[in-house]
Amino acid sequence: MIEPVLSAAAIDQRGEPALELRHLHRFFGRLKAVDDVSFKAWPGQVMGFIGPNGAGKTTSMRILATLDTPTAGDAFVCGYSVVDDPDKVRRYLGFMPDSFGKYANMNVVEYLDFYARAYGLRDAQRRDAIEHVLVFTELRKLADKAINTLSKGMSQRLGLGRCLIHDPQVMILDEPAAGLDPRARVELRELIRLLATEMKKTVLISSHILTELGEICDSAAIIEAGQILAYGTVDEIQRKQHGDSTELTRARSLHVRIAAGDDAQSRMLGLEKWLLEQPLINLVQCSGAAAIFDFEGNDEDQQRLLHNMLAAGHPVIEFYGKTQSLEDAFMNITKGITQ
Amino acid sequence: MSAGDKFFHLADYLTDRLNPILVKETRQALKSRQFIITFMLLLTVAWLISVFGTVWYGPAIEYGSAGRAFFVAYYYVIGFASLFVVPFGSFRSMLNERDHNTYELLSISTLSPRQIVNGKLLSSMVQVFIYYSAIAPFIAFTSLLQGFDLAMVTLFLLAGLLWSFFVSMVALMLSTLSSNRQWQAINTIGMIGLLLWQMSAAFGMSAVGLSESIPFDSEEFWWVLVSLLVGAGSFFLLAQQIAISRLTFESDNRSSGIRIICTLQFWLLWGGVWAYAYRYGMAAVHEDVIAACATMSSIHWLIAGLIFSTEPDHVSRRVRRNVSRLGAIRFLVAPWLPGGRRGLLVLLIHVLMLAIFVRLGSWDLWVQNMVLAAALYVFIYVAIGSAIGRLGQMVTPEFRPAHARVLTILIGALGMIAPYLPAAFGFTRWSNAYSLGEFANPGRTLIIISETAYGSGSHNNATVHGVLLILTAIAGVALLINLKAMFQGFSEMASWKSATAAESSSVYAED
Repeated sequence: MIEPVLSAAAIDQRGEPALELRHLHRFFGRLKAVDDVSFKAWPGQVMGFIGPNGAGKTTSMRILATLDTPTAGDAFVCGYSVVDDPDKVRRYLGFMPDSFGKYANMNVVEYLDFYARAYGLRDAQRRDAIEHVLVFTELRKLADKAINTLSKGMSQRLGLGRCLIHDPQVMILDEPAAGLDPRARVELRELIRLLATEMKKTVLISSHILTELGEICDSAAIIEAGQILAYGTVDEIQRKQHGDSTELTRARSLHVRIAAGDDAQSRMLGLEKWLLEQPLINLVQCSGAAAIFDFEGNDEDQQRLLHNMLAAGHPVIEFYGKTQSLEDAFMNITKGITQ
Repeated sequence: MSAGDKFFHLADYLTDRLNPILVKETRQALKSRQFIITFMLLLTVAWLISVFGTVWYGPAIEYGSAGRAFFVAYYYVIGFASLFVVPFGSFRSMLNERDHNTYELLSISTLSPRQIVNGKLLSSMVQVFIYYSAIAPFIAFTSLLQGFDLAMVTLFLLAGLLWSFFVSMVALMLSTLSSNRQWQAINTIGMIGLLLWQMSAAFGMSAVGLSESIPFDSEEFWWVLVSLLVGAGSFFLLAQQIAISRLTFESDNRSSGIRIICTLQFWLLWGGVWAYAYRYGMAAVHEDVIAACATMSSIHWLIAGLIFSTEPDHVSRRVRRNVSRLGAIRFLVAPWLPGGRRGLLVLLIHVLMLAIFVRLGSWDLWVQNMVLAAALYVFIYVAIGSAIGRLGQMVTPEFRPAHARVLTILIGALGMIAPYLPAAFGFTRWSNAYSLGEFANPGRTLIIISETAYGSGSHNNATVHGVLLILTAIAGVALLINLKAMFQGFSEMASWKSATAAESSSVYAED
């Protein structure tokens, strides 16, 4: 007898992670593609899986999708082992590979209809699922279009729709934005955000476009040479790389621009001298009418610095802090090791 | 609700109960260029045959036996579609799933490998039925002519249909064997050759059959027909199970289904022999038939045994969990569970059964000796393969089952040619006489034993007994080498306790 699939709320109530990798290993001969990888993701969370090419992201994702078996360790989706219960895992999981094939002689509705049937949806349940996916992915108007004539952006939407057809609790998206134009990327990003916020899906997403990941991810795991180098919320990862996991204060880069004029050079020299005399400031770099420096104070210190700067008569027209992005964190954490 | 809507809803309801692959493949196939071209070609050729055939016969069509000739022509047309186009379509259908990267998405749906294989097969059958329905009016036309034999036409159309099922299944099975693109290209060329060969063979046999009257009232005819159907059916199931196993997840049970079907085939063969003997008396079963059946069984178990006994011994938690908790059932099914050590046990059981069957039959001594020798050869070579597999795994984890199988085949080949090497290098003179040194050559030894039939041949029973003694001694050594492993393999599954929660979550080595 087929067990009923648990709802997102039911999984959430169990207090278990929707997704868990536990000491996962995958070796190909001597190559350690995945080497003791462990992390968890909870319902409603979007987790970025970041790493250079060949880091082990796709291998880990394929194991999670039950397309490969681990050499050692295990991975769990909604509490079910990918090794012991791949059939159950598949009912809770939607996987979108970096590239997926399309069938010939098939239109959008037929494609979705086939996967709805393949996931055991019948009668009204199947028709409702197809309708829901067509609306969510905005593919309604292309319903009768042959799938091998769709644009890249529409194909990715169709891929996402296929993942969603059986209403899985966990979605694994491998490079979903690769090859998309900026508009399609933004639209896809919005869809992914909706999956987590409105549909309470757990989304594990890998991408090379880290600026975008930073905007949609609650947490991230950075992997290199098969090993997890950092894992946690984006904020935690940034703090950890500075060796400071408790203090909210951390070095931030501040940017100041002063009004340009005939005596801009002397004003700039004055500002540089003034900045070097201030506490909590390091590495002052000046260029033209702008200065960039590291500031180790908190928000209150920063407010005081601006106040003092204006009081000292510096003609400030721009003052902003450049917080560290996920991309910066990635560049700092990884060493560019390839296997 | 209009009649059209009602029909649409009914069709939707009914297709919901069908295999999803069947629905998808049929939709795709009916839109495909290949189907449309084949369908149109079939109709055009059949129409041309009707027109030109009628013109060619002229007034003779009224009184000659034109019905049979027309049927033969239409039969070849439908044969091309059902024995070449459709099976090749089945073959390509599975390969295309891999080539176009659609198989992975299919494999992670909730469809089982069995559903995938059956869906693909059924969609091929739908196409065959469509082609048959297209040719049906032309066959109906032949029924108006002289020389039309309804029983014969029915038999040949049915045989063609079943043969098409069988060939499509084999084609599907072959398409699952390799995921490597280079091999797939070679496979495709091989497949075209194989399909053309079987089609021409089927046409040749049909031509012979259609030129003669079918002896429906002969009991022997029905024995042969049923034997062929049962034999082909068992190989159909074997091909289906191999295809399913190839598509099954690595940590699942890929072996037991094939083991069960191989066992079933063995019992069907010998069950048939015993049923015939029961019906017509033991004397009616000629020794040559027993020798042929024993040879088939030996080849069957040599191939199957070598594959089973060289499998990796590790049994995943998933497979263990699905084994019955009842000790008695585990005891009975243990040899049919995955693992090389248990594979050798399955083989041992069946070679023993083979020897016992023939002994029970009280046939001539030569056939008993031949079957015993064949059984010993099979056990020896498979036991060597099993031992090589375990030894290789101890040396390096990179040692794969395929390595053990190839090494065993090479050892077998060496055993066959080794007795002749001294003569080949000029150290001794060539001799046609059989010497005991040739015991490693199964082909030569079995021929020598068969030559002692009814006191014929130049070799006496002492030579045969000498060879049997050597083979028994070697089989005894092979048994001793593998005995501990077989016992461990059996007891591991027979006395296994269900995994605890702690074991389930522990880090383990799957490969």
